[in-house]
Amino acid sequence: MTSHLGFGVGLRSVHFGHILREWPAVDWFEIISENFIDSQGRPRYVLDQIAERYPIVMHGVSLSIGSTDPLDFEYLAKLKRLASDVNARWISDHLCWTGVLGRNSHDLLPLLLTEESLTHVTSRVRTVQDFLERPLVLENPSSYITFAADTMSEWEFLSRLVGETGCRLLLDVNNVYVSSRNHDFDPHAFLRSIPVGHVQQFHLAGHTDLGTHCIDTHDGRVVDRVWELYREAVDLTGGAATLLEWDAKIPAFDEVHAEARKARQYVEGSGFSVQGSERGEIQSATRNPQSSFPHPAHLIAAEAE
Amino acid sequence: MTLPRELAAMQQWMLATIADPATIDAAVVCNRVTAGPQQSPAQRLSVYQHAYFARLLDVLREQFPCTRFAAGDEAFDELATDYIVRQPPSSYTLARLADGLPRHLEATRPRDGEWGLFLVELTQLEQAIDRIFDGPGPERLPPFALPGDAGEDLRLRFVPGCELHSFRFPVSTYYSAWKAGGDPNWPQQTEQHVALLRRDYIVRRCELSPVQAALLSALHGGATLGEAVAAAAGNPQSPVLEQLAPQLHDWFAHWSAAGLFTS
Repeated sequence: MTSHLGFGVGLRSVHFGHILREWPAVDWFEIISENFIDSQGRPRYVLDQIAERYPIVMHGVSLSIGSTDPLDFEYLAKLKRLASDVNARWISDHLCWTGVLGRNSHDLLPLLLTEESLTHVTSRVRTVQDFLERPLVLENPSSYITFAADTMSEWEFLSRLVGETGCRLLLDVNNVYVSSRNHDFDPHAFLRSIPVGHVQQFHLAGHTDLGTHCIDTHDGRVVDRVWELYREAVDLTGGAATLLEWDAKIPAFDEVHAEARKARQYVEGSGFSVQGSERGEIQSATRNPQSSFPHPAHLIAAEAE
Repeated sequence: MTLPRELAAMQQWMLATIADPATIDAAVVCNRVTAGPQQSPAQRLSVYQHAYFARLLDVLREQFPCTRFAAGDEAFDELATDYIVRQPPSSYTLARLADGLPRHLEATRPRDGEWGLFLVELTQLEQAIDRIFDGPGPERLPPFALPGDAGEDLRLRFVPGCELHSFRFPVSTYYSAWKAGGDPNWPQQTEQHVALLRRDYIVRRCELSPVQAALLSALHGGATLGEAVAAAAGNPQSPVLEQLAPQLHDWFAHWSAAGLFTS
């Protein structure tokens, strides 16, 4: 498995035209798996061209590894086929559940953090890894509640899951920050407690700070405190492939790419001044909570004349 | 493997709670969800409740922009929310979220006016556009030219993804006016026939006269050229066969150039 691809950008349909015209100097692209596994139209046509020139990583939102519903092997087969077609360097999803009893919330819902859950998820991760014939890479999601019945922390759950299954971690540094604010834990303790040797990839993104809580909206720049956590995570892990996500109010490609390049500056130049990003966070606090909701909301709109 | 009962019960409770806030029992929420630094358990859970509807509504707005324009934002949101409540999503992909929307609107539309039917047909048109955009298409097929010696026995194959639709309202005309940035009035009921297909990965519409629609429909159903022309000539709005014949060449040249057929 290729360990450090460099600094990538999430492939979004609003940037298809720009990428095909300009072929920007991006190290790699991450795709939302569900946007492409069934595509027989322009999304897949564009992806095939991009995959010829850039490394591709597949990032899913519907594996629902923590659900008590049966695993969807038809979905897994589609993931595996696409991964083979585009030579995906790895396949990731989230440590969460998205639905139950045949229904799908299309949200990344938090797991009950108990021994029973850990046993259940461990078994499913093993099954998925066997089916995909590769390690699964799991991301720590942002969460907005914890359960009274929880018996362990998120980092203990992650660490034990990695120990049992050998799965890899997609460490979303912004999610660590968002969850730490929402649940009042020390984000630095989180970073120091996970098995850093298993971190395959980092995610960076913007969020919305509503004062009473934070929401993982992916609609702006990365704030200073998240950059600080990223620097610490790089120090702890020795560095890993890093991906900038921007999923709502998506600006021009060059602006997204510039934000991703800041991560390179951090790693290669020992940091930089992040003027203005903290102001962005303060502005976010004045937003209407009704207009802020967490990603994912991934749909590629049809193009018609 | 034994069923993780506590986990299953918690997941079923949580999904039911976020997808149907009317069922919330505040005492149960407090027992199951911890308070945050600055939020009560119910406030924290409401983040997921709000996100569930906001996300799904956003997807439907994006998939049906013309229907939303026609209905108005508020009415569209009401119709879409009712659909989400009654037919919650089950697929792994948001692209399938709206599969049942036209049927749902048809089943629930008011019967005392025409506007409901117009909106139903507009959703059918937009859903077809969406389906054709990402479905099988003709882009990798060789170009097609109608044989110069095409006889009555010729059977034509339509390109993958080509669909023929008949509407009771001129929804394609309305869609074109909206797409051009106009503010079209709701149309009067007038039959409209449309061929939809994809070319160069973009969905195109080809509006058809009733006679053209009858002709293409017969061909689409597997009829030979001769049988299809006879079927079209039998259309009450068709000119007699002798008058129809000279137009056929132009029609087929146009449809071939538009990319309706494949070898």
